[in-house]
Amino acid sequence: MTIRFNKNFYNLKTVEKASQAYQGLADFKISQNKKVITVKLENIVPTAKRKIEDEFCNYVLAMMKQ
Amino acid sequence: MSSKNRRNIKTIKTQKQNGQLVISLNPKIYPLEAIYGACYVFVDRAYLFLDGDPKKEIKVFIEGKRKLDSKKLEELAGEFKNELLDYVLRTAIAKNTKKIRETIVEKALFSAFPSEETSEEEHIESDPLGIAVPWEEKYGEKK
Amino acid sequence: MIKTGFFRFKKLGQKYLLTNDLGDFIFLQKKDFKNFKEGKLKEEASVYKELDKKHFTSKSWRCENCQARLTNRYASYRGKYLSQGPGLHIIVVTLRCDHACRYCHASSKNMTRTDLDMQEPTAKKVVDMIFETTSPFINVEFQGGEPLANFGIVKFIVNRVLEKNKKAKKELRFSLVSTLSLLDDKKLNWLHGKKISICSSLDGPEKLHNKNRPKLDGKSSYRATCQGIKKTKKKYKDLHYQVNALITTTGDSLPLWKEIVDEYVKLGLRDIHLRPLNPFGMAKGLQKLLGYSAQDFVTFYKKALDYIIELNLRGIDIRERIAKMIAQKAFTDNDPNFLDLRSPCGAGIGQLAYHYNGDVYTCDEGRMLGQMGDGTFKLGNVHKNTYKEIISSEVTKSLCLASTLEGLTGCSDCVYLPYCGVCPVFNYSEEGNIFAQAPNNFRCQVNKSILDYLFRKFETPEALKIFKKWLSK
Repeated sequence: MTIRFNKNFYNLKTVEKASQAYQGLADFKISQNKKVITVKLENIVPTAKRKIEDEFCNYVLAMMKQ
Repeated sequence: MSSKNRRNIKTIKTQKQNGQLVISLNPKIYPLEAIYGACYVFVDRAYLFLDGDPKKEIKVFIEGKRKLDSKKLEELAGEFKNELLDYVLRTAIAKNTKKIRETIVEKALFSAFPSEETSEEEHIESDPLGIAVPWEEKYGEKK
Repeated sequence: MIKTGFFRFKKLGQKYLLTNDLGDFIFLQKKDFKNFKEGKLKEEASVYKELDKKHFTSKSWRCENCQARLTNRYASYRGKYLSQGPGLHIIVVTLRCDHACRYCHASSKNMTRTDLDMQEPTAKKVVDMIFETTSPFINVEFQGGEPLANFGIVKFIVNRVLEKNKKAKKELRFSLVSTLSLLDDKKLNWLHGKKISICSSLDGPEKLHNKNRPKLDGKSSYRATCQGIKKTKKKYKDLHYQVNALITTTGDSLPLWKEIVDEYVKLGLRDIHLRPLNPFGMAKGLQKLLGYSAQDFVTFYKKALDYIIELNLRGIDIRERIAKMIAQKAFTDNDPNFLDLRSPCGAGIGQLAYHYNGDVYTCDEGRMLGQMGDGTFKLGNVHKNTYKEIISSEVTKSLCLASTLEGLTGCSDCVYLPYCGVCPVFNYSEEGNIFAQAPNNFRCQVNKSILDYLFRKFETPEALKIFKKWLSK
């Protein structure tokens, strides 16, 4: 599962912090280029598979406000 | 409908895409701060994602956390747009009143904290959180 | 063009609710709100005059009266919250208890475990530490387990506090939170003699109360508690003290909102505090069994409050505590200083909690987490640390920051900021972070919904009359 965050609206520090909060649910591999932060989720806990992508994106977005 | 309202409506476009609604916003009318604010309010009942170009068009992808039919999805988007307008106003109020508010609050805090001659012991007790203790004293090298 | 002062707002029903930094509020029709924010409101208009009177207009917001009120508010803030040491000192004198409540926050232990009693050397150190506070006011609150199970230490502490206070001359108050099942006449006489106020737990009618709070000997805990309440009310009549009771709301409580209120009325209890279950102690593991959604709780609250208002209109004197506190915040400049509903919260600065072994925590919630094995909110121990070390802990500062609403995302924009409060310990327990993401936070959802409901009630003349009557007593 891969999520691409537009760097105009999301920053690396926030994505990294959010992935730490979610570390119990999946393994996060984070990389970036000039425009995009790419987050690859692997070994996702089965019970979280359905919602983790959406919930993680929400979590990051809420942290951007914080 | 006033011309101002007509202009505002043109600054928001909504379209359906893969079960989500995409709300396209004019960043000149809807500052990013206001968009973050509106999104924050909705994270308990919707999934939201931002994309686009902050100079031309900001896209908000919105989808209900529960499965919503077309009508309910439109309603959700409508509520989001209203919240967004409210956040634009909140941002403007905060910006317009920032300086004077700081002055008023500063004055109130200053008046509420009368300056007193205190002994060192009393000073410690009146600063229970240690905020006034200099960094060097707390963390500097011991001589 | 008339500019506005600073305000927060939200649309509530067909109107807009506005609040300001003074805690004043006003409802505006949609058209008036539009005119106000656009600076089109005429000074002669009655709505402008009301906005002006409540310091929402730019002119009135800068006036001397507003400045004086704000100064007063911060002075009271400083006076009560920030520059004095903690006033409330919660002492857990034992973990032993003769009950096995399903949701027990204290993770109580059975009555044979006397090793879980506070001993005199620890009690002595606790009292010494209490008197190091700079607060001119001290409230010592005994909790457990069941504090009556270690009554000797309760007496020791009270006597020692009274002795030390001959020199310290602080304003003193004692309270005891108890099931009352171990209350005999001898204990009651002594408590009465020392003017110790009593608070018990009453979850509702007998079946519900006994289900939530079974006694270890199998007998009816409801009957023991009711008997204790009646005995205490009779004994304390000359002191004009009201015996208080607290309800803990479980999933089983929700359909019984009327029966629960009736139970409090039947026993002549004047106040009822409708509060949701906290995720501490045994309740944490049993949340699925005992718990409910924020919406479910709010539905329960609304029904119970409506019934309470109806009873008041019939002349029956019973008050809901949260509604009363919010009314006090909204209609007076005298904040009730309830530690759960203030900014910053009371953790470490308004209260301290002392465990039976001398461990000191930021608050009772922090202590409950400590009892569950998580010592994050432990500040030290009375045997090992000085008062200064305890109160200048980084933990206290963090909780202060995490509960100052003006600095919190979601709270800083919220129309209810002047009336609300957060619990960073609750956030930590639920979300693993002392800073919550407000929309997903159970407490925020509950508080917001209750505040929506109460402010709408403030617009209803009948209900408003009742709330103001509660404030005048």
